[in-house]
Amino acid sequence: MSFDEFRTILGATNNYLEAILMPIMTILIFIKLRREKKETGEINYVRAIIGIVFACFSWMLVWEFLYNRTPVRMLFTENIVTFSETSWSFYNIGLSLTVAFGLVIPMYINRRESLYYVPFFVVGGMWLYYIATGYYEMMMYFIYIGALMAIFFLIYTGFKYKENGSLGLAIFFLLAVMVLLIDGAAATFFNSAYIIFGVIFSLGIFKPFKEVVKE
Amino acid sequence: MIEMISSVVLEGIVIFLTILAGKKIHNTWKSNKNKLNAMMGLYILFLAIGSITRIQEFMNISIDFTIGAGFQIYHIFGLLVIGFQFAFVFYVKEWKRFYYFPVVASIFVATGLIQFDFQYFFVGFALLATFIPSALLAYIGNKNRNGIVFMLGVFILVNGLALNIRGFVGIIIRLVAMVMLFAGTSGFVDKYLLIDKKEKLRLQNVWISKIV
Repeated sequence: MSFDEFRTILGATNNYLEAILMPIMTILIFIKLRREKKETGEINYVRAIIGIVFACFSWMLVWEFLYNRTPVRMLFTENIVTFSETSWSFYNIGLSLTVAFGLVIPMYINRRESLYYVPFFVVGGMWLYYIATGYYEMMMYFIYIGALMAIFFLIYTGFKYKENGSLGLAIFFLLAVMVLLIDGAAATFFNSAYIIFGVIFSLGIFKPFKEVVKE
Repeated sequence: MIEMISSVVLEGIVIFLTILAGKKIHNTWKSNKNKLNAMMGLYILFLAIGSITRIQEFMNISIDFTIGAGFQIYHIFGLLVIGFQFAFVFYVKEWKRFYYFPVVASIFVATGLIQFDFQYFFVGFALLATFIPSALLAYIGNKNRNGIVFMLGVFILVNGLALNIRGFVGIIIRLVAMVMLFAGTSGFVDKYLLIDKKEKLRLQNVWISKIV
C-alpha cells in the first residue's frame, strides 16, 4: 500500500470516526456533568462549557460528514453545509460558536465577569452584519484570531490554576486548528490526533495536574 | 437670517443649561466619588459638544469630515452618547456581563458606516438606546426614589425624540429636556416630586420622640 493510499484510507476513517465519536464524547461529558451535579449539588460550569464546545464541534463534523458521505449532498450546495471562507454555512455557525465558547472558559476561570458575554456579542454582531451587508470576511478573522487567543488563554489559565479542563481543551483546539491551517498529509495526521486526544480528554484520563488549585 | 440667529441663541441656552447640569453633577461627584456621576459628567460633556456641532451647522460653517463611506463627526458623538445611555442602565442594574455591549455594538455600527455607509445599524442602535434605557432608568429612579436617575430616564426619552425633530420645535423640546435634567441634578425632583414618604415619616418620628 502506497503512502497516498494509506492517507486516503486514514482520511475516510477520520471522517467516520469524528462523526461517530464526537457526539459520543459530548454525551460522555454531559453524563459526567450530571453525575457531578448529583454528587456535589452544584453545576461545574467549566465542564458545562466544555460540553457545549464539544456539542458545537459535533454539529460541524456531523454536517460535514452528512454532506461528504450521504445523499444530503443532493439537498444543499457545498457552501451551505461545509467550511466556507466566503459565506455562512452550517459548519461555520458551529465553528464560530466553538471559538466563542472557547474564549469564555478562560474568562470564567479568571472571574472576568464583564468579559463573559463579549465573544457572543461579537459573533452576534457578525451574524447581523453579514445578514445586513453580505460582508463575510470579518468572520474568518474572528475564527483564526479568536481560536489562537482561546488557545493562548486556555494554556495560560490551565497552568496558572492547574486546571485540567482548560489545558485539555487548549491542546484539543490546537490540534483542530492545525487541521484548518495546514494542508496535505500533516492535516490528516492532525485530524487523527485530535480525535484520539478528544477521546482521552472526554473519558477524563487527561489529568496532568493531580490537585486543582481553587481561589 | 432671523431663524438662524434664534436657532443659535436657543442652542446656546441648551449649552448653558448643559453646563449648569454638568456643574451640579461635578460637585456631587466631588463629594461622593460615585462612578454614575462621573459617567453622567462625561455624558453631559458629549451632549454639549453635540450642541456645538449643531450651532456650526446652523451657521453653515463646515468642519465636518467623512471617514470611509459615511462615518461623520456627528456619528462619533452620537455613538458616544448612545453608548453612555446603555452604560447607565447596566451600571445602575449592576449587569456587569453587559458592560462591553455598547463598545462592541458601537464598533459594528462604526464599521458598517465606514465600509458601506450603512445607516440602519446606527438608527436601530439609537432607537434601542432611547427606549430601553429611558424606560428602565425611569422605573429604577421611581422605585428607589432617586431624582437624578428618574430624570435621566425622562431626559433620554425626550432628548432622543427631539433630536429627530428638525427646526425650532426640536430645539425647544431639547430645551425642555435639559430643564428636566437640571431639575434632576439640582435636587429639585428629590425634594418636591419623589418624596420618600417612609423616610419623611421616620424623620418626623425622630423629631417627635426628641421633643417628647
